[in-house]
Amino acid sequence: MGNRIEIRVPCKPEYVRTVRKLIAEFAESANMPPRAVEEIEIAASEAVTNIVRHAYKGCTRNPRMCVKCAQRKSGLIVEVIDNGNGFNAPPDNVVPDVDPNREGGLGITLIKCLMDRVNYVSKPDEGTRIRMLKSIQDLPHADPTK
Amino acid sequence: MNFKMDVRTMETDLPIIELEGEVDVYTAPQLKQQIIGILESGAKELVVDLTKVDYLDSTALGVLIGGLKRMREVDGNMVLICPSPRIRRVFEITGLDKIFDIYNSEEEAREVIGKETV
Repeated sequence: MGNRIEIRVPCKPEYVRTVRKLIAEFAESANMPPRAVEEIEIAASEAVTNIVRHAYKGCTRNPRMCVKCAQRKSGLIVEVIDNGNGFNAPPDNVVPDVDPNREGGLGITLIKCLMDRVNYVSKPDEGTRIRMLKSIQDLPHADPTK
Repeated sequence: MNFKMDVRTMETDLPIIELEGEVDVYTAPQLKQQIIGILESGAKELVVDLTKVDYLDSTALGVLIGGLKRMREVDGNMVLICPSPRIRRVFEITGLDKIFDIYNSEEEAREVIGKETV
């Protein structure tokens, strides 16, 4: 078991920056290399942005979001959780088709390309949990024991 | 808020939007309004300078795609200045580097656009 943080913020656009900066600081303190920190920051930010933009559309529940980040021997795990509308999750480990002409869906593309493993659990009207792993393998400057 | 936006006119009379800081779900709506305003003024070409941008998310990409589509609908174009490899990578991952004309500097953009419009 390594270090972990949990962030609960209002589901509003102005809090997305706060979340990504905290996640980036945590990744840095876990000795992830700069490029990995950058990729984790982007992926976490995109996951949170998805919640802000889509998760609670037309939903009467109190909009909440929670971000958990934990250091493991395998790398850094980021979980982003909401209790919004849920959606039909794409199959795991499938690289999404990139259609550069569309204005939406780019966040998921970024997440899947930047993280080593991405899993979704989503149920209609119950919410979504996205779990992402940035593997420490092939990161020679990272110290998994710290 | 770590975001700043300025609009000016280049020597070639082209409008240029200079962005600074972080363009994300919170700040991108300001960029969208600015682009819409420039479109409504009748401009057919627009330069967006991302030189001083240090974070650009998918919302901002969506706004830029929307602007590009609308410019091209009136046979115009929107080009980007983006010397930062970090920001360019976001365009590359999403395949958007293939649909945007991206230049490294204002001089480079001006040279190419100037040739196209004259």
